[in-house]
Amino acid sequence: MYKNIVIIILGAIMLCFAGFNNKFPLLTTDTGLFINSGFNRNVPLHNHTAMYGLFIAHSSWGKLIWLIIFTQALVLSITLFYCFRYFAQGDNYLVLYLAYLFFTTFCMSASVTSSTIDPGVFASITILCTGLLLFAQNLSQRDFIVITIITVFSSGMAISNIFTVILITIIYSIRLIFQKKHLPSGRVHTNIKRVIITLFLVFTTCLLISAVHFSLGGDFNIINLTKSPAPIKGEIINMQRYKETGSKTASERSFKVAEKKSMNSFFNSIVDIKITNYDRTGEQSETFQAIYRWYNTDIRECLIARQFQGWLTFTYLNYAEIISILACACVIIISTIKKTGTNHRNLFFFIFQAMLIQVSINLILSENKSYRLVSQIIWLLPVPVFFYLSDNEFIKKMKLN
Amino acid sequence: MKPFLNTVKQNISKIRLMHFFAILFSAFILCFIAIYNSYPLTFNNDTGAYIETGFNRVVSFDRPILYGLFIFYLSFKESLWLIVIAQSLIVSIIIYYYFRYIASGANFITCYIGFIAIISFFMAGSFEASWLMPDVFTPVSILCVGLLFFANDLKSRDLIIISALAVLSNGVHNSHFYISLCLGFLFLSGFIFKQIRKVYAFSGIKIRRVFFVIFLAIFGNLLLSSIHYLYGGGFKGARGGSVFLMSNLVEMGIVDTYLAENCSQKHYQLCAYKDSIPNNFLWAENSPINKTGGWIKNEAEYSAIVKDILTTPKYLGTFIYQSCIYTFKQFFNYDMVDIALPSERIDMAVADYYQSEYLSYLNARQSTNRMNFGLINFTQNLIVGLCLFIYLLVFLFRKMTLKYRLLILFILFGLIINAWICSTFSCVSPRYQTRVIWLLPLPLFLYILENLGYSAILQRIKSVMIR
Repeated sequence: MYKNIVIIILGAIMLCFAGFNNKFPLLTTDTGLFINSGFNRNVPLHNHTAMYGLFIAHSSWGKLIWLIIFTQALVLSITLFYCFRYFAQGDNYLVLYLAYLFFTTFCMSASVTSSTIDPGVFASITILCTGLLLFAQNLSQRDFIVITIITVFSSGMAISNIFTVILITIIYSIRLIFQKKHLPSGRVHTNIKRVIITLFLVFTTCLLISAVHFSLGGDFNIINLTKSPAPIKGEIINMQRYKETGSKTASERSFKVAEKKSMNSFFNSIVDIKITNYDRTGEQSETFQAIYRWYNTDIRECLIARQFQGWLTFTYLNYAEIISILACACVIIISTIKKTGTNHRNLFFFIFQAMLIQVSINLILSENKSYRLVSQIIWLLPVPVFFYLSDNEFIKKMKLN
Repeated sequence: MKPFLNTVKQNISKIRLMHFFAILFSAFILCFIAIYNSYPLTFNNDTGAYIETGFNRVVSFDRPILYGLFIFYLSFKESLWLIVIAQSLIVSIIIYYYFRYIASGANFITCYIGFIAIISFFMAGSFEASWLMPDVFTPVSILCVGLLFFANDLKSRDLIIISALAVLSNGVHNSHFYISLCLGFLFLSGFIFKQIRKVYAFSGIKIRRVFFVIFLAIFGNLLLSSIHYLYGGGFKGARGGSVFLMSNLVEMGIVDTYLAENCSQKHYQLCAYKDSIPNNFLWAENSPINKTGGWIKNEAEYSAIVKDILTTPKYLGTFIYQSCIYTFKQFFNYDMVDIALPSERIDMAVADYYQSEYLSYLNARQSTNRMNFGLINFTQNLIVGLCLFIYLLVFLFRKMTLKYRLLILFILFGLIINAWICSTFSCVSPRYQTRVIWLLPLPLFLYILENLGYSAILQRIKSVMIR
C-alpha cells in the first residue's frame, strides 16, 4: 500500500519534469483567462467551464503556483496507476507503469502536457477514466469511488471532455446491440450497466457544472453562451484575427477565406502531432498579468523561465515522439498480423477512437488552438502497447516482487 | 620458479602499461568537445575572471583564487589546452580508480573506456572537462569522497593522490567545500542508527574514513583561506556568500515582500530601490548593488537582511518552500546551454596572456557561433531517464547488492546536495547540474562489470537474438 503511494507520488514528480526544466509551469495564452476566472469567481466566456479556474485557485491554495501542476500530475499518475493495475497482465504492472511514465516523460509529451497550466491534461485523464469505467473488471469499491470522482471532475474541466464521453458511450451502446452474446474469455468488454453508469456520471458532471456556473452568477448552463462578445461565426480560424485586430468586422471579412481553409486545417490538425514551441508570454499578455496579480511572489520566477526567455524548444522531443508513435503502430500491426493480444488491441481501438473524437470535437469548438490538441493526448497511444508487453513471457517471468 | 616469476612480472608490467594507456586514451576521449570546438570552451565573463586572478594574483571578492592559480601554473603561460588535458586526466584517473577499487571485475578496461565514451559522446562529461571553468572539479570532489568511503585496500600512493585531488577540488569553487561537508556529515549521521551501521559494515564504510573526508574538507578550506591570506585577500575561504544568497532571495520574491513590510521601520540603503530591483541582482548594471558601492560595501547590510529573513518564521517558511522547489528545478536543469559567444573580457584575457593562441581562439566554433548541443542534451535526457527508472526499480524491489544500492544512493545524494546548495544559495542555472549529472550511470557500469561481465552481456544479447 505505502509502496504504491510512494510510486504514485514519484510518478507525479517525474511528470512535472518539463515544468522543472522550464523553471516555471508552462503557460498558454489561455492560462490568464483561467486564473482570472478562478480568482474572480466568474464564468469564462466561449467554450470553457468555470471548473478549471476553480481548480487552479483551490489546488494552489491561492498562492502556490507549483501545486497546480503537481496536482494535475498526481491525478494523472493515479489514473495511469489504476489503468495498469486493472488492464496489465501479471504481477509486474508496477514496472510497466513506471516504464510507461518514464517513456512518455522523456520521449513523448506527457510531461509537457501535465506541466502546463491548461485543462488539456484532463482530456487524457477523462479518456483513461472512461476506459476504466467501461472495461475494468473487478474494480474494488474504493477504486471505483476514486475513479468516479476523478471522472466527474476531469470531464467537467472542458466541454469537449463531456462530449467525448457522451460519444464514446453512445458508440459502445450501439456496439453492445450488435455484440455476440458469448465473447472469448478474458477479452476486454463492457456491458449495459457500465455504459449507464458512465452516462449517469456525465449527466452528474453537467449538473455540477451548471450548478457551479449558476452559483457564480451565470446561467444554469454548462457554457456561458449569453454573454459572449466575441464573433461566433467562423470562430475556428477567425478568433486569431479578432484577437489581433480587436475588430469584429475585420474578422468577419476574413471569414470567407478562412472557411475554405478550415477543412484543410481540420485534417492537417488531426495528423499534426508535434509539440509546438510554447510562445513567450509577453508582459502585456493576460497570462502574465494574471500571474502578476494573483501569484505576485512568483513573478520573478516567471521572468527567468525558459519560456519567458524564449529558449524553450522541443525539436528533439518531437522527433522522439514521432519515432515512438511509429514504433507503437508497428507493435499494433504485428500483434494484429500475429493474432496475439486481442485484448489490448480492443483497448488500443478504444483509445484511438477516443482520441479521434476528442481532437475532432476540440477542433470544432476551439478557437484556432488546434496546434496543441493532438500533442496533448498522443502520448496515450503507447498505453495499450505497454499492456501488450505485459503479456510477454519474459516480463511475466521477471521476479521483482 | 624464476622463469615463472619473470613471466608474472612481465604480465604485470604489460597490464600496468595497458592501464596507463587506457587512462591516457580516456583523457583523450574526454577532450572530444574541445577538439570539436578547436579550442577549449569558455564561459561568460567567468573564464576571463579566472585567468585574470591567476595572472594578477589578486583575490577576487566573489570567487576563490585557486582555479586561477591552477590555470596560471598548469598552462605554463603557454597554452590553455594544457588545462583541458590536465582536467581530462584528473577525471580519467578518478574514474579509473572506481573501476579498479570498487568493482571487482577482472578485465575492467573495456567497461571503463565504454563508460568514458558514453559520458563524453552522449552526456556532459567531455563538455565539463573541455570547459575552462572549475565546474569539472565538482564531480571530482564527489567522486573523491565516494572513493574514500567505498574503496577498500587503497594503495598509499592512490590514497595520497585522491586526498590531494579532494583538497584541490574543494578549494576551486565556493560550493565544493559545502557539498563535501554535507556528504561527510550525512554519512556520519548514519552511524547513529543500528540498521544503517549494519549496511555500512556490509558495504565496507568505516567511520574513520568518514571523519577523514570531513577533515579533508576542513583542511582544504583552511588551506584556501591561507592562500587567500597570502595573496592579500584575508583569511577567508568562500567569497561573497551572503551577497549570493541575497541575490537568490530577490529571485525567490522574498526580498520584495520583506522590504515592502519592513522599510518603514528599518532604514536600509536598499529601501530606496525597493520598487526597481532587477532580477539579475548581481550583474545588472542598474542593480542597487552597483549603485550603492558594490559587493564589499553592501555585504554587511545584505548579511543583516538575510539574517533577519532567515530568523523570521514567516519568511523562513517561504524560504524553505522555495528552497525545495528550487532544488527540484535545479535537479532537472542539466542541459548544456551556456555556450554563447565569448565576452570581451575573455577576448582580452586570451589576447593578453595567451597571445600565440589568440587566432585559434577566434576561429573556434564557439567564437564563430557554430556550437550546438541539442542532440547531446537529448541523449543525456534519455540516459538520465533510463538511469532514474532503473534506480527506482532497484530500490523498490531491492535488487543489486547492498553495496551497490548504497553507492547509487551516494551518487543521488551528491546530485541532490549539489542541486540544493547551488539553487538555494546561488541560483537555478543549468550549468550547476550539468557538471554532475553524468555521474548518474557510473554505478550501473560498475555493477554490470562486477556482476554480469562483458562477455555475459554479449551472450545474453545473442540468446535473445536467437530466440
